[in-house]
Amino acid sequence: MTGGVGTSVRRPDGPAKVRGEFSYAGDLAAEGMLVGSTVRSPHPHARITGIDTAAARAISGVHAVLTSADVPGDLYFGLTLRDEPALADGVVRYAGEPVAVVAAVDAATARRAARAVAVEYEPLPPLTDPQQSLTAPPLHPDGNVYRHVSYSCGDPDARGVVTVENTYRIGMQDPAFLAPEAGLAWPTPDGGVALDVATQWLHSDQTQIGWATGLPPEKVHLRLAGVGGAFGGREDVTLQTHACLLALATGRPVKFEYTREESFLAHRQRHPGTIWLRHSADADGRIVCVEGRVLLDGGAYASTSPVVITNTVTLLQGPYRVDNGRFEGWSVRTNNPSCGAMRGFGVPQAAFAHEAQLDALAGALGMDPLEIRLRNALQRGDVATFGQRFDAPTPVREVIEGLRAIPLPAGPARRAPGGVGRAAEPGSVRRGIGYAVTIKNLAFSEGHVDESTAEVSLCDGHATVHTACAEVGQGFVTVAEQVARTVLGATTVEVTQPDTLIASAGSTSASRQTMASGTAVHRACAAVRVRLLAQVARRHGLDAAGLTVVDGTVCAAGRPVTPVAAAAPGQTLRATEHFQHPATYPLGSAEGGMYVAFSFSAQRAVVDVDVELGLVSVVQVASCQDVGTVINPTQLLGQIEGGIVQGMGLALMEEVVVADGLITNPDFQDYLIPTIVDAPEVVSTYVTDPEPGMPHGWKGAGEPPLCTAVPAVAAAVRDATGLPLPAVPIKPEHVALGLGAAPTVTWTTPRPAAPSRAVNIVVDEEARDAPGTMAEEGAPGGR
Amino acid sequence: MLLAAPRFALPETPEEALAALAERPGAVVVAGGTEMMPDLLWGTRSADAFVSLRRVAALRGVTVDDDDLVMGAGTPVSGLTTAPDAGLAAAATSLGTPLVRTEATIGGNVVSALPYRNLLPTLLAGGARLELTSATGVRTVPFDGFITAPGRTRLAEDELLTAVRLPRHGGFADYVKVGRRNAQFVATVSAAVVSRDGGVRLAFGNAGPTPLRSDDVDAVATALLDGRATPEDLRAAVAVAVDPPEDPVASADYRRHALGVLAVRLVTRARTDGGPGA
Repeated sequence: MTGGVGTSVRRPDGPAKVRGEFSYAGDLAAEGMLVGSTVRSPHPHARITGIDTAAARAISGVHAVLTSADVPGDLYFGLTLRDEPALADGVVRYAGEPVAVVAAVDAATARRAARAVAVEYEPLPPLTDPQQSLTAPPLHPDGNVYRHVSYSCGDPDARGVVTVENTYRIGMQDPAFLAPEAGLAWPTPDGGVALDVATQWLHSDQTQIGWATGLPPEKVHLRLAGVGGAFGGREDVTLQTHACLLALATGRPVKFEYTREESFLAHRQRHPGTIWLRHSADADGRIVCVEGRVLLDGGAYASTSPVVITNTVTLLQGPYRVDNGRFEGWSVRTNNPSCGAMRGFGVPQAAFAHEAQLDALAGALGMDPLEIRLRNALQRGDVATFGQRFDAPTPVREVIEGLRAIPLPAGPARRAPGGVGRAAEPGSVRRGIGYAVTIKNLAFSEGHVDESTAEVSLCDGHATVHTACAEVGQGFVTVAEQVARTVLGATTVEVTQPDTLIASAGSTSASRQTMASGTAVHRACAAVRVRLLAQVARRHGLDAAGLTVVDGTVCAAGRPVTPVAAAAPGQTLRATEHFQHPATYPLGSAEGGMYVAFSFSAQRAVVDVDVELGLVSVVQVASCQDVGTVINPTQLLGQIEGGIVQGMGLALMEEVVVADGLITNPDFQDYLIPTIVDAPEVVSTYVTDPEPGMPHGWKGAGEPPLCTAVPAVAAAVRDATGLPLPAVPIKPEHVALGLGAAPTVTWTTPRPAAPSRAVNIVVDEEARDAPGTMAEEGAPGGR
Repeated sequence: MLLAAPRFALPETPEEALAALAERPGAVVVAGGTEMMPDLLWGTRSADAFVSLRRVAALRGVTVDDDDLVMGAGTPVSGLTTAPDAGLAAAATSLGTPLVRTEATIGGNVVSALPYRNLLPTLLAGGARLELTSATGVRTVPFDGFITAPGRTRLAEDELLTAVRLPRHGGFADYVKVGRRNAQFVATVSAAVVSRDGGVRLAFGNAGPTPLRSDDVDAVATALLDGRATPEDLRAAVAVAVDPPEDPVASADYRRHALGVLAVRLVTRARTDGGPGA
């Protein structure tokens, strides 16, 4: 139907955003509002020997100055482990850690007061090397290892004829959303606090604010404010708690809005890491064994580091059948910026490494890069290295074949490498073509409950959809609207602003909200439809079981009975429904699989490289992705294009450069993200094999395009230059000066797998006497 | 209020501007504000007072006299993208974004005096001269040597840069710039060339603490133009002449390498597009 599932419904917030009229969180204001400012540590590691707030308090217009001593509730918060203080607790562990917060009548006074807070530090040596963290004295009472996982499958000593190994490095990527963190808190008449904030997960924020303020959840009221991008960087609490503490302390509304630099300091980045991989294959290119070792730098506090590491380690196998292997990984604490969720959640790191290995194998064996991938492609029924059976459609072969069917771009690039700098000469440019195929897990994992709740009401054809699902630009607003039109026959649909008046929708992350909140909306719509049809049946003397809704009309045996809009005049029909995925289990559990679902993606990148200068222009990226069902073609293309551009950003330019624990480039002059001039042509096709158990057969689509673009673009630059390029981002000097070690290729005597090796899975974790909000929502956690 | 009188002066003529400057010791002169405003907003720089040149119409515009292209110091970069000097036009076109080019001025680009500023290699290669105006009159100085250190110039306290004079020539001029993306980037390194009357003059951006040129490099570049030297000779000469920074954006080794590549490419373009000895 018009505006239903499968059509390119326009975003309701689209026109306002295009015209610059959309109200972002930074635009929030209230009468009598105070402005908050944060005192941050300039040191990556220091003991606080004194804080004197007297001078700051004495400034006219300052209403409150809070330190950790002023936090009435529990000081510690976190998504997986509660190891992070809301305000520094005697020690600072990263540069930028909040030490005190100030509320004053305006921003200038607040900043002046923040500068007037005298903090005495005794600097301590910063631990910035994650390798050293494994053996160094603990930086925190909870220890330095967030999680260590280790497992093997089959016979890890099995060998084919050729073995390739290399060490790969992935830099720290920033989510780089364009609207810095902002929110407005105010005290409520019930003695509680309300907060309008740009976030990804209202209920996680609510819980963590409750810890610090000592308020019960029902007295912490959150609403989503206008979000300008998230990409994982808004999953952790930043200013939420500070704004609420100050609102309660002053009795006034308090607004925070970070500067760009603060935004870089405050939110979580993508984990930088080192991955060693050794692949052995037989003469036909079939993978015999994979061994891998991962070290991720989690930075100062846990955030989601214990979960991210499992994604990276388990998906080192890629979308390939691997019967024999040995995998190990650590995420560790350092005095670098804290890392956490970012689009892809540990998988881009794995994908960059395993795809480089597949190309190295193909190169050693003289095989076509797509042929070696087809030969190893996972199929439905295969068992993963981590023990889970792929029992849903597993269209790896299909996405590769789909990609192969897309023609190569004809003619020269829109822009030579180096772009407006005009440095390239026609003779200096070489074209390269690279391929990558990836697997991405969808939804929360390892026992983290993945659920959502929706309330849908219908009156005279107008549907209202209420969930706590944060719209961060991904397009849930259109999905909900489309479902209400298709399932309920609604004429008009309003998706209300998400808040904590309804149960948690979980985080807008992990490619999960269409599957979770979309399904909850679908169920609620279906429940309302049952009520509607029962009324129509009574009124018209028909059997409800014979009634359907088609294109906004109630039909009996295909014949129209009444428009939905006129079916129950003046009555409001309402239903609230909950959805929860089937349970998942921690790595190593005998009870069941770790992951809810998977998506597969294949991409081909075409690049032009000025080899002498190391400059790259990405000409085209073609994509074929396993998406279950196309719900909204335009929104889906937006996810594919955005993911590809963000992935090529990590491949070529995006890196938070940390020196001695300090971010050297916390601004958009020095932290480069691709511009529209850099963005390639994107050709996007899909494999639509409906996901079982999901209404409309849908599945998540937001993360795979990023995961695949990183290795695809890197492979294309390798193809153009002949260089190994084992690190991203690929800097011009890596190409121009030929930096980076090539994989070691060893020809080996085949050694078949011993038939009866037992599965061996070891998962070490620090004691979890203080689990974070991900555990609160369900069991221990994952993505 | 950040920009209120008397701290903030908004003169309408060069004379008023000089007077406003004299009344405000330590004042910072702003025009487009693309350099100063971000620093003010982020609190990384402050000043006792500001003299804005935005309304000084006499400082805007490009004219041509017998010898020179004369650019008012307040001319926005967007007004230079079609300048009758291919090097200057290329340098202007690749500066920032359309919004920045509309606001940023040639005067600001010169006086901000950072080695990676877009227009500077072009001015250095082209032998530009600067008109510095004070209450006592106008003096004209070569751009070569005007910048003494990053952010520092020979401009006196009571002087305003009022015009930039770039000699006209019938030769070949070009400008190239290297960065880490394809638009809107600060030059990792840059280079400009002017080739005329059988001689080549090269200049380099971010190749040292100030925009840089070298007689030795130009001698080898001229020899390369005439076929008396090889590209390797020029690269070697550039490698000796430059002293590029090492920072998170790029290593000094890469910058030295890239500057040599740019020099060779510019001389090659001069030979092909400018004709031998053009």
